[in-house]
Amino acid sequence: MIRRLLGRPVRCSECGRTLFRGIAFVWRGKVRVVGAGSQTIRVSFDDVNVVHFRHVHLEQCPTPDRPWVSPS
Amino acid sequence: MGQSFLTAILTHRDARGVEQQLAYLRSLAPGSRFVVVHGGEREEFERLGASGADAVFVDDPRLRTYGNISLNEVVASVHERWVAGRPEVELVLFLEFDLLILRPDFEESLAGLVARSGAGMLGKAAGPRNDTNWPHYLRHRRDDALNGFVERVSTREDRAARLGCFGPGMLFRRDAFDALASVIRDAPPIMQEVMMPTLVHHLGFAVADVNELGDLYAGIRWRPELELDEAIEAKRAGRTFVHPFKRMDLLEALAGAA
Repeated sequence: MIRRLLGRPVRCSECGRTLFRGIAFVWRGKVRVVGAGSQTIRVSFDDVNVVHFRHVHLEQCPTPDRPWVSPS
Repeated sequence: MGQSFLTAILTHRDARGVEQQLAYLRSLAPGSRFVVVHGGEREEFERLGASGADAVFVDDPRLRTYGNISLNEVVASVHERWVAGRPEVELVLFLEFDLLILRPDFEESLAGLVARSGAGMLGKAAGPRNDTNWPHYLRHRRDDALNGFVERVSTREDRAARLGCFGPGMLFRRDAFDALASVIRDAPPIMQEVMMPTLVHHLGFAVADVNELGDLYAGIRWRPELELDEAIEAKRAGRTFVHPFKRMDLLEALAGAA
């Protein structure tokens, strides 16, 4: 419920599709990303303070390299 | 592709269900070679033997722990029974019983992907998992038995690399399968979706994601189970594989659908 109300869309950095609606915060020394567990995703730093996420299942990730994946 | 391509059906179904599946596959692809790895009730396996199916029984409780299935014994059995003494076998496909083949040219399609990718193993969503939230990777990353085993057999610099894939539709090139079989009996019984691609990688072979090469496995999903009308629609659309389709009793109707 809180995630639905307060969560923001987190998008795949490759295809732009929404991966999940999430809320991120620091708790007990770790960064919690509530909502991330709804998808299998890859994470890496995009900038010194920014992490980004990508699809693991590429049939969900339409890009020019994968014209067989429907953008819808 | 005849004898160079071996399809091993992994099943726990009763003999009647296995026979229905074999009849369907043999009718669809009469030149292909299908063998059966049975991990269900021994009585059903023995009934199957009486019908002349080329089958082996694998008595491993880890074959029936849904969500944590180990294929170590399956790899060893398939290699011993149908690959080791047959140099003509070039590719080995593990066909979970509910992975439905819809086109007779499935071997050519898969062989083409292997040739294009140069990979020792193909799988759906196959690839690195160290930078992911994949639950099977997270569950096993501190597994001493797995980590110790990989440390002992790995040919790679990065011994911590872990890979994963979706279970249905694992395809092995002969040299990778030989290498896998040579160590598998010493491997801990770790979930197949982690163990198979991780081990193939550490034994020095490339592991390729079918999803990166085309849409051959686009009809394969985790759930929900496909109904007959969906399978027929996929067949009409030219799909080669769909999963999961569990109704062996409906395969005859599917075969008859234009």
